[in-house]
Amino acid sequence: MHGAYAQQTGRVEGGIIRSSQRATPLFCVSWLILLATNTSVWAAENLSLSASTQLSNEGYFVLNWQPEVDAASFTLEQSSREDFSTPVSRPLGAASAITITGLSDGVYYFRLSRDEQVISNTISVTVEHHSLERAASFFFLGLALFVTLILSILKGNRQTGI
Amino acid sequence: MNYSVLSPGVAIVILIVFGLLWIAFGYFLGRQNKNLEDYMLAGRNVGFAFAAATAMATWVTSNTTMTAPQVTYELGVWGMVGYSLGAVGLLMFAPLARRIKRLLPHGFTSGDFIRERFGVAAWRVFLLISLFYAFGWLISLGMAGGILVNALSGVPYHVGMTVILLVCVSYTLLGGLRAVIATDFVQTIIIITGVVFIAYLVVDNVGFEQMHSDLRNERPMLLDLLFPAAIMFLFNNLLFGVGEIFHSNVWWSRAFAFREDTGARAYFVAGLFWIPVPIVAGFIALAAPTLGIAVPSSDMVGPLVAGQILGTTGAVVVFIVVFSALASSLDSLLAATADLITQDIYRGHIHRGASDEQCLRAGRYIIVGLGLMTWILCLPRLTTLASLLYFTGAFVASAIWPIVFGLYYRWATGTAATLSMIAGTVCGLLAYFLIGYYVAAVASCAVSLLVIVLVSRWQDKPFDFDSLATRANQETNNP
Repeated sequence: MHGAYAQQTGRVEGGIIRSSQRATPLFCVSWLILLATNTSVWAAENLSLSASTQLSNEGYFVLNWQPEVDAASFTLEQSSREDFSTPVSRPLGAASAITITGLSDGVYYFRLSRDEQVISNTISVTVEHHSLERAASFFFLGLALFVTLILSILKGNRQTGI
Repeated sequence: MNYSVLSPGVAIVILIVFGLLWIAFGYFLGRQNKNLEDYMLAGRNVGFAFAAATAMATWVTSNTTMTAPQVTYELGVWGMVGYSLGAVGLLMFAPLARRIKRLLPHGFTSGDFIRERFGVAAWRVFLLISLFYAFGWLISLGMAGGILVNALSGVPYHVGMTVILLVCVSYTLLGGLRAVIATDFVQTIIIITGVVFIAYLVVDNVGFEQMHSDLRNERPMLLDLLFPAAIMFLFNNLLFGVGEIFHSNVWWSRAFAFREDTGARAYFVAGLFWIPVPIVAGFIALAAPTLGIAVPSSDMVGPLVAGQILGTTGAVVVFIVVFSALASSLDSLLAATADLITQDIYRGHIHRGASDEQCLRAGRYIIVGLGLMTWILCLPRLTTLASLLYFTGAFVASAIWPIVFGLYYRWATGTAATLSMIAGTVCGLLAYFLIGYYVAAVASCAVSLLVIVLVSRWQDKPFDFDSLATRANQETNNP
């Protein structure tokens, strides 16, 4: 079943590189040095956290981790700051993935921890909802189609004597 | 992974008991079938109670009991309200059912109407749309069965999916539409009772204030009435539901099967009774953050929350309700799709002039074949329920105007209907991939309307309704 989720949620390996950043060689080397010296990221259980998308227009997306292990004691930390100074913690229970929904516009950072020790890489997902103008245009288009449909049926019924 | 609240043994026992019950019921009712009309259309004599029950039970599907929570979990309060707008399709089909019965008193399928009203080209495009939709729905039902059993009991997805498909294929094969309608009646009683019970337990167990507070802090968009994707979803879902019902042979076969004075009332009452079901089903998804449930895939949120809130007893009730909902839709869809393939493809394209006996035999093979194909396509579990379901929205919404204008107005032409279905589907698919699943039906419906009106006005070839019933009657037996 783990495999089923993995198939279903198509991965984008975000790592700790933001979607907007280009991975230049210098940039990569810098991160490698940083990772090598950051022992909290390379903890005993080194999990690879990834997201189904790096840019969400609906405020929902799926987070997965590899290898798939029992996450009973894991916690997902979420923060709007890269340094996780104000994290929101979500116990993962026995899930093998987690679907995050209902987020408003912003950049969100995620990582896994256990016993207050970080055990995965950090990823970021940007939430940027559709504009209200676009939403309103589809809403009113739908409303106009609905009204046209009702009127067409009512007129048709009257004409055919039903 | 062990987040299940039922033991696998209990789940298997429920599956076996209810499965055997439905199959025995199908066998018992199937003995009354004497000919093709009995098998395909229950003798064209279904009364009001059974008619309303089958319409409601068929529309309460895995999509209502499992996708409504998913949509609520993803799109919030508007998702829940938007899903309940699916009832509009049933309510609006009420007058259409009366018109269909009058125009084609001896019709068998929705394809019969399209062929006689718009010609062969439109008929073939319509069949492609209809069959694509039928497979999408069948797969979503099979998947929902597997997901339900897995979420509540930990029984592997493939086992639950296989057993549920096997049960539904068996009793549909044995009893035809008569068995489908009769089991739907029993399943409706189970669904309504179960949903009321679950609603009571949810209200009793979950604090509204705590839920509201947690949602506001952790998932603010779920309560936001200006959630853009959810606003787009509202009329998209309404038009998707209308497209599903207006074009699908599931509903047309019932219009043919119900007594003339019954269809319109039955569809109207079924629509009214259906409205609260997705509201209740969707509402429980909003409790997930308060309960601290980590939802692996959003189409599992309904069973997971219900199991956690309601405990073992509640989980058993949810299991039975959703199993009944699944079965009531799966059997209807199997029967109606088999009818469409038998009448429009086997009799219409492969074996013209086939006798009723040959069609009856072919119909049974087709039901088995449909079950097998659905099983194969369900195996990979390619996507979530909502994504799969709303993908078909691009197709079905393009058929709304050809059906409505075709039933009531002389000016709608065959070429216009054909082009409108093609253009609507293409634009709906573009919207699906470029924007999201929540706009596919609106885009498809809008383009389809534009094309059918413009091309029909340009062609100016009025249709003669008087000849329709006569020709349809002749062609039904030899298309």
